[in-house]
Amino acid sequence: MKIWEYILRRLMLALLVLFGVSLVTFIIARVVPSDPAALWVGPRPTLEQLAAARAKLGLDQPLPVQYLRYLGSLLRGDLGVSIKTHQPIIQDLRAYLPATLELVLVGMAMAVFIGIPLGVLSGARRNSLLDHFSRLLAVAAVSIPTFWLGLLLQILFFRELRWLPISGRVSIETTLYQPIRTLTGFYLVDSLITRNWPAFSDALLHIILPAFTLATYAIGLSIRMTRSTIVEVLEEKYIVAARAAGLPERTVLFRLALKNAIVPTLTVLALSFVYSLTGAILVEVIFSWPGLGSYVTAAVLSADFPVIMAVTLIVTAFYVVINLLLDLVQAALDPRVVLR
Amino acid sequence: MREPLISVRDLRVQFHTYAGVVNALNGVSFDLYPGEVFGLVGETGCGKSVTGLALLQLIPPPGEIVGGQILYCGQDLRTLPPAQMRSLRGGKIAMVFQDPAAALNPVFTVGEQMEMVIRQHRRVSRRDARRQAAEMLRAVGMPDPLRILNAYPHELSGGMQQRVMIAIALSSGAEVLVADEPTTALDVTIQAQILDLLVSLKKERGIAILLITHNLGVVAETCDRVGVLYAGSVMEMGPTTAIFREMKHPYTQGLLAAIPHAERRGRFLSAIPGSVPSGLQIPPGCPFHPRCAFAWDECRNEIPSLLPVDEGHWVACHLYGRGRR
Amino acid sequence: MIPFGQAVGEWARERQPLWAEYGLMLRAFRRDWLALVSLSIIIAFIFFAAFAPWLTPYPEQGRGVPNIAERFQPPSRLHPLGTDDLGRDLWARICFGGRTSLSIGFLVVVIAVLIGTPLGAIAGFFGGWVDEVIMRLTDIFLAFPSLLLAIAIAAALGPSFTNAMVAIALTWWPWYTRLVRAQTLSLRERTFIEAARGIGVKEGTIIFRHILPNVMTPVLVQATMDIGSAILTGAAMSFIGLGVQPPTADWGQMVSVGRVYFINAPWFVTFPGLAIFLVSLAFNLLGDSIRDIADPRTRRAVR
Repeated sequence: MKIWEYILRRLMLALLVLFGVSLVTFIIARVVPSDPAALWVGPRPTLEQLAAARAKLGLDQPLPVQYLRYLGSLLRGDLGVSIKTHQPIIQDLRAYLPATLELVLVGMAMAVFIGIPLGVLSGARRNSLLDHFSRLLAVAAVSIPTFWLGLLLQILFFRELRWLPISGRVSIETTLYQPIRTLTGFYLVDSLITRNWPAFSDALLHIILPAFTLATYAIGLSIRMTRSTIVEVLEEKYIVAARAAGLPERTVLFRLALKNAIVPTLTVLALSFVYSLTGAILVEVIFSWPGLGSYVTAAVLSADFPVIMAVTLIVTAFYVVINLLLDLVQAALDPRVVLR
Repeated sequence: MREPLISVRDLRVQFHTYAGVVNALNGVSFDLYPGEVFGLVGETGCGKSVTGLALLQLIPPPGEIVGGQILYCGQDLRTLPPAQMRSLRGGKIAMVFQDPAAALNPVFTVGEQMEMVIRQHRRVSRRDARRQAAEMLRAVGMPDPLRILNAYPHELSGGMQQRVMIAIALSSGAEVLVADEPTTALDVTIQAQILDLLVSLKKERGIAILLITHNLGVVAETCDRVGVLYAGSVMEMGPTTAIFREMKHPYTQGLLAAIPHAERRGRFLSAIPGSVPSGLQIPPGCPFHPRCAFAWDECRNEIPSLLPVDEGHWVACHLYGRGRR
Repeated sequence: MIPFGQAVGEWARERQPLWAEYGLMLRAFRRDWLALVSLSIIIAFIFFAAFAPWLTPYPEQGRGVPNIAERFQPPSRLHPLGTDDLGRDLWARICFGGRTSLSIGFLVVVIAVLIGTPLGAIAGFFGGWVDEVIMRLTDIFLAFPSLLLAIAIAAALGPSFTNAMVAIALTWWPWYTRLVRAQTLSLRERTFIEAARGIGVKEGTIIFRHILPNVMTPVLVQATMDIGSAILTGAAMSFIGLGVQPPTADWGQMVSVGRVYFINAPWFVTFPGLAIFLVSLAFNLLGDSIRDIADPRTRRAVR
């Protein structure tokens, strides 16, 4: 009961943030020196067409009214229509969002399974060879330009070694002969459910490079964060006490210390998860990944503001929900945390 | 004569820091017999806690044992393989710490922590481990063990936390308990209870307790024998009564004179002039000589060795050396 | 992208520097070879950028004049790093590109610090509704997908150096507000601040004379680490086409163009990317070292 109260209160706060974000995007969209009506009509518009479009899009109303109308349709779950393609945005999102989510989730899994163990070992064996290696790896990972790394990986694994495909979600052969039936939009999941094994392995091969490229930054972050909190935790009295009680180093590190140290790492990972949703733009461009990033970049370049606003809101919603989940997880991991 | 459980011989510990080598222990020797409380007293930084950690081979880096022996049942712990040493820790030799709030892991319940330790040392099911944990909690005087098992450390009072620490330490049948300032962080009334508990555990279970403290009152109440540590060396060692009645070493005399006393009310407390030397620069000769009212040339040049002055009473001071008694 | 240092730095930073500490810090710094190497790399790149016209025989190419006769030359004695799609010497382009890429990094962080620090100090010092308003504002900006916001702002204002810079800085300041607020909160409880309040020193004076100097060290550490990330973000903006416009040289933009030709002219994409990587690496390493040195616990730690 207590916890539901808390979640409810947080969700109200979340609504406030979403409201603020929608206001900011709306203002940005309206100060732009571009005419949505002209974009809506297309090249060589007549004055009548423009006026009709203006009325249809509600641009003839005063700004506050426009904003209220926008809010109203948002509350009804209507994200609007793309000015450029005249398609309902929600339909586009159904195709693009799963593609990006799949990419980001695989990337995050890499960050968790590479970054956290390396961080723990590195923090436990300070100044060992492994420590030097993983610290260097961590700094390099956060310093390397994503788009450049993607290109280097393509040169290495596609051009030189010919191990992995260069781009796309699946190869043309799969699309032609083993098409994946779309259920969730996650190719790995869909091909698994339909037992389409050739398509599954094809999709897996395609996701490795882009997911790794996307994950580099998060890998670097989680190594660093885990290392520094582990170093701090290992100085604690209760770790000495655990060793004095004869617990083996493996238990001390991965069962005790990690539970004490994991929260900051989860925090940065959760943040980078959210930022990756749009941060994937660069990776999607390089690997021709038909995801949210490519979608929104195209929208930005054609000043398709309803799309930009919709995507911004979706990503912000992810941000708030994930932050809430993070606080709940933190409370579950540490009994001293009081949810307020 | 009884056999000592633990014999520490000429133990030397150094810490390698940027500022130089810190000599934390310079040849400490003492014995610990079953069924006794041996008190190790001294001021902050004299090496008490390091001695305790050395017994468990847990000197934190950059510290290092550079010489001497720690014999347990005739085996030198320094040369014991790590796996065997680990089973001794928490098994035969256990430790409780100064600040129980910091020494208990905040994110695990008392039960989880106890089970983990018990199952590390004995092949028992989780359920049996839990039962043993409850028994142990009752043995250290906890009224409602089942409730405590499900509690997190921060939900318990300081005294209860320290009882839990002691229960964990003894849960796997320890013969030796290293208690590093076990009562310093607690209220005075709780202090007495914890000390009573330690004494009763000694009597009932026959365990040997190394009680590390700076509090001479605690020593007087609980210890059978005492060692006085100064700048990483034992200055004087003997039965508690002997130390309190017939202290020989000028440092011990100074320490005892600095205790407030009911009979000497209204008089000034005497303090030892000067301050404890840092481990970086231990004075040559007797480490206490710069602060000692009786120091002469020999004290400045030659390190006095620990020599018997009476039955079981040893002093490291040139005042009592070589027939000058 | 999360400013990397921020995420790490937000955790556990208690100590406050005394002015006397700086001497110790300098001594520790001189012993830290990694920090010295990083600093040298940074100074070298600043030098290349500042004296670009005198460091290459083709300054006009660095400024963008095409030289079609020598397109896609691999590295040679005449062109140590090769030439690009318009035949321009890559070394000259990289030197000139450093001018934009480095200044975007510095300026973004400077703007972010100038906005974020006072807001954080005010929020932390006054507390109450002032704090509430400022922190909700940072919440909104932090909740915003930052790269997307920067892209949107840059697209709205039109792609240019200044707009890219402003756009990135606008997504960056809340991190400093949070950092400074946290620092101020702990400072506020300290005796010397309470003493100053007790003897009736004006609040503005306390903020400027006592709070801000004391939060400078963490902010500087943070800023050093963030310059690397800011350069990366700036390069990403140019890569998408929303940053510096040709013919002005910029590393991100060079990678973006070079990407098309990476099969036949791999040097074209490699060297500008390497420049971004090296500079960003150097700033991150330097920031790391400064952070360790600024913290007495890690500074005196023993190896």
